[in-house]
Amino acid sequence: MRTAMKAQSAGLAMLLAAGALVAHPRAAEAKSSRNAAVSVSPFGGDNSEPVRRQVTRLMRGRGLSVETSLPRVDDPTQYPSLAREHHLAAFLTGDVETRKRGRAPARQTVTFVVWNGATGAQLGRWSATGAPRRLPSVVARGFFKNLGRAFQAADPPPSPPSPPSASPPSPAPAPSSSSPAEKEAAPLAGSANVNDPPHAALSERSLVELTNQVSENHKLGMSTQTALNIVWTLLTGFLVMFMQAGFAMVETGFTRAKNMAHTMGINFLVYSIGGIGYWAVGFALQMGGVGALSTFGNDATLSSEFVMTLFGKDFGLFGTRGFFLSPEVYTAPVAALFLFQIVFMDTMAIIPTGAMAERWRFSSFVLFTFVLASFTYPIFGNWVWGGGWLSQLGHSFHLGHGHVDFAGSSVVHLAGGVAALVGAKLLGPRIGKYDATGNPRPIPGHNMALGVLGTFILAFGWFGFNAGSTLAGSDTHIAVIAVNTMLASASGAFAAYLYMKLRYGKPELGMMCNGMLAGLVAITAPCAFVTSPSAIFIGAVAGVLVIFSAMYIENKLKIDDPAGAISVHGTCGAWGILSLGLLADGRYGEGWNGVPGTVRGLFYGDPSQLVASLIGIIVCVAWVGGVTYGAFKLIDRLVGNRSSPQDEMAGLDVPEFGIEGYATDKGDVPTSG
Amino acid sequence: MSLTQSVNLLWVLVGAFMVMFMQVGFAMVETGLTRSKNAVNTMAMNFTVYPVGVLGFWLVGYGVMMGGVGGWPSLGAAFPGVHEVAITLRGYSFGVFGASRFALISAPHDASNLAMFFFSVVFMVTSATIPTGALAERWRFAAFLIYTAFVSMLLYPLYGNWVWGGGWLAGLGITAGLGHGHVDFAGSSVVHMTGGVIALAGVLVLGPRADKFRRDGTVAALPGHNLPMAIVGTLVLAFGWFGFNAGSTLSAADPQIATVAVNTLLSSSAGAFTTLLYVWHFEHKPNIGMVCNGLLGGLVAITGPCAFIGPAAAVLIGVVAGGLVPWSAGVLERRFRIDDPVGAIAVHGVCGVWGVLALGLFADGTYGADWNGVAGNVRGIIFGDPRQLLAQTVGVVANVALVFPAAYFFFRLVNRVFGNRVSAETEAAGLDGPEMGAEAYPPG
Repeated sequence: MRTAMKAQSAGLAMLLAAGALVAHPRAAEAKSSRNAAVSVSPFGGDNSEPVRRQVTRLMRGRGLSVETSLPRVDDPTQYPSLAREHHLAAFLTGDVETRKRGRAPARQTVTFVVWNGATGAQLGRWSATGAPRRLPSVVARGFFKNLGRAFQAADPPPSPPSPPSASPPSPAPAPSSSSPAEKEAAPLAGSANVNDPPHAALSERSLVELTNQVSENHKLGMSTQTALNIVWTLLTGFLVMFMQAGFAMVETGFTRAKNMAHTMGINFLVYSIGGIGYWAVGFALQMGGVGALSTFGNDATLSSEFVMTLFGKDFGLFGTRGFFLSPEVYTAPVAALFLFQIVFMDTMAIIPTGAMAERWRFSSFVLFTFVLASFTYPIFGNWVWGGGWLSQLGHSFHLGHGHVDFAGSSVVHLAGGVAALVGAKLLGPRIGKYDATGNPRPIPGHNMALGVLGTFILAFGWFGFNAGSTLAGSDTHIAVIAVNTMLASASGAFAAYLYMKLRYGKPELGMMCNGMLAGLVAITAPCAFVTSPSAIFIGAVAGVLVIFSAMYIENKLKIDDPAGAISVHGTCGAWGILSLGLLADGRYGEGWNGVPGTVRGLFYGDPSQLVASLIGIIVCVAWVGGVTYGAFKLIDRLVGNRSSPQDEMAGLDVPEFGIEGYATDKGDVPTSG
Repeated sequence: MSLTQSVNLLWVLVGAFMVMFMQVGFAMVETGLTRSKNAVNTMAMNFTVYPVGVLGFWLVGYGVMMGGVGGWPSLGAAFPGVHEVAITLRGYSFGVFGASRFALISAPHDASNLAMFFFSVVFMVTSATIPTGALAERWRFAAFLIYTAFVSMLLYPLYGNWVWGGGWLAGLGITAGLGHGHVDFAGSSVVHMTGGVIALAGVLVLGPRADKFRRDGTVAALPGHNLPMAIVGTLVLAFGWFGFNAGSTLSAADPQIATVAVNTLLSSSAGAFTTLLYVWHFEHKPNIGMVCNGLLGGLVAITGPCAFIGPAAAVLIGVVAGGLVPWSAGVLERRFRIDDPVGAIAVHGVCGVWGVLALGLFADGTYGADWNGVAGNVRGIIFGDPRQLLAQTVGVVANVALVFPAAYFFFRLVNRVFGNRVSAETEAAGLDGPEMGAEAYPPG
């Protein structure tokens, strides 16, 4: 979610540097304590970037810290000063040579040289040859076999003086135990200090600690903080995945028994169809240009955005890396991001199914979901979360921090609601929903228990949805986000109850469920940026808004929305975005979208943030509405969107699926001979 | 204990909680896909397998399975007092079963052992619950309880020891030079294939349900009574499976957890989608119950190889599994007249075999350094190591050779002593009243 976040891993950055791959653990510890990196500057020759990326990945995979930002320096005599300045242990240079002989396929040879940081001497040299597309994997096979020793031999530069110790100064007369002196003397490497009792106690303890830490990092090759962030992202992603079960239960509970298998089947298969489409195309379009992932160890694999320049300003349109998650982009951080993003896409794609239930042809649904997952959703997602132009509005037009959507009120919910609105309008109401004079008739759902349980599963999964969107378990703001989420859902359900009770004399269970979901949808965008009274307010407004909206859509617009998806996700999604522009309190979001300062809404002094939010809403409605309209019309031509009236009257389960949702125990249906 | 070990413990425990939650998924899938007159019985089997299995595994099973493992470095320090019973042949030792830490008596407060016990026991329960689907609607409840004790104490731990407890299948790389030995990341063979093979043996002994195969040669469909329950249960399983696979790194600090989770996701999607196309094409209707099984088939197949392959291979594995499930279910039912109410043999047995073999094909050499004590990463035949495929095949053969006869003779023995099957009248009336004394859906 966060395209520009403070680099917060600095404190716990890789403890382990050049020594990680060394066979002798003692030597490894001595070097690793200095936290020195290896510089990998751009390689020479055509098409050398894939090899460089591969090498960087390999080295990071072995626990080396890699510095890629330095330009190439061809004069080895400059290396010692550079090494001191940037705290480097070694330099890796590479040159790629491409040969093409006649009609034979081209071959590439890459030559690596490892230089010692401290002296500028050459430590190792290795060449590998292969077809251009195979070269990175050839390199992967032999890199450490041939150059491992060279890295092992690299000397880190003298350590800069350590910061003063946090512990109170010891009165003991041990002047030589000050940290710089201790490190210069490299006490870890030998047993010299054991003879000296005060030093022995100190160095042995630190030796044990360091050995534990180093040997773990050696095995794991990743900082604990990055690990924690990836664990957090994965666990919350799993929670969001579980929301699929909640959606399936809510939508099926609120529709009729004769369409049960059909409604369930649609909800079930969104996960599968969407997953394939998003893997193939969608993820690359959405996140291919997101840049360095600051909470995942600054992995910069996804850094290719298609940008259009208009009026001298850059407009990022879509990403171009990561199609089919090909091997060269499949790093652990990218995989974690992918998992988190794909379950968000599933949530978006499942929303229209509730509005179009009980009359939608299954094959039309399959095609429609494919378009949503691989094109409609990812493009808008790129504009907001992938470094695209809506997120850059602050940077390029000074509108607050650009369009800010913390966890997806617009990207996921408003977009889903708009797709639902367009789809339900084009599909028309269910037979029997409106009588001859055009008055709506209630069509009650068949299993309220299923609907209520599903609502609770959604509310549970929503903690993953919102709090996980930090992409960082080490960001303590997750607690604020979780509490805001909980408060808004509670006040949404309660407001819906109060309104129905006061207005109609009876609480309405289905509306209470929708009120809770409405509160959740609305708090999704502002959850990280508002105070707790604001969260209660946002939820309460959403809980009432969802009822007004549902009645307006049913009575005035004459659009039939069986599960209330348009009101819950569309209307309250727009409210959530607006509420961020109004109520963001300036306590979070430092440097969000590359704009200095924190995120503030209209009531806290930044009216331009509200303008950016409004633009976000308008663009979302225009883009999703337009594409959905075109796609839906086209699919209607191809396979037909609506099931036949006879099937609809009989219930879609048997005609479309060949089974009954609730089969009786007769068991007399022969299938074959 | 270091911070990293704490995070790893947390990861393993949360993963285990998710796997424990899969019991809910199994109960829902199996009950939803069977008939309402047997709903209480089917639910009760899925429920009881948990307490009985946990106690059996605690008492004996854990010691047999993990008694020979010295420790798990990602979770804590090595543990003294391990014992693996091994046969020595030609100077190599072949581990057969572990024999320490029975009832956890010698490790009452050792965090790494307790976490591993928890993680292992929920895996065992998953395996033990698989046959309840295949044998549903006709199995005596008391016979089922005896079966649970047998599987949790002996059968599952024995094969588990061979693969994960330092036994001879894991050692094939060292003793016979076969790749890294039999590699099964999260249990395509240990958990799923074992469950599927037991299910097959059980169905062969118990026979089909009374009204499944008619005299005139036709097959009755006997549709399940509550499809929403089955579909929600499938999604619960798919959720818990992330704990199953990603938790099996036993380390949160291993960046591979992200790869594992994404591969799991992709394979399940590909499995469901392929089955959808398959049944839509051959049965002219997108039979959603079978599509659920396709998703599960993709999950079962990716369980073994999930850490060792790339996303394209994950999709391919899911596609093949999604085709195998409906095909093998059809063949088993129509050709071999095997009555498997929920498709457990096709999903867990067939796709389990496929998953283990797929590792031998597609492992791409980017992960698994020093796996089972063999230097280098794990590679399949396509990436240059045909011996890995051989090791996988040996693992599959060993599983069938151990589990099938053991389960078959066990079921025969119970038949002789006690009786596995309810009476014909009970079966016709439904098991809920006569066996359980309760109705799932009392009128009114």
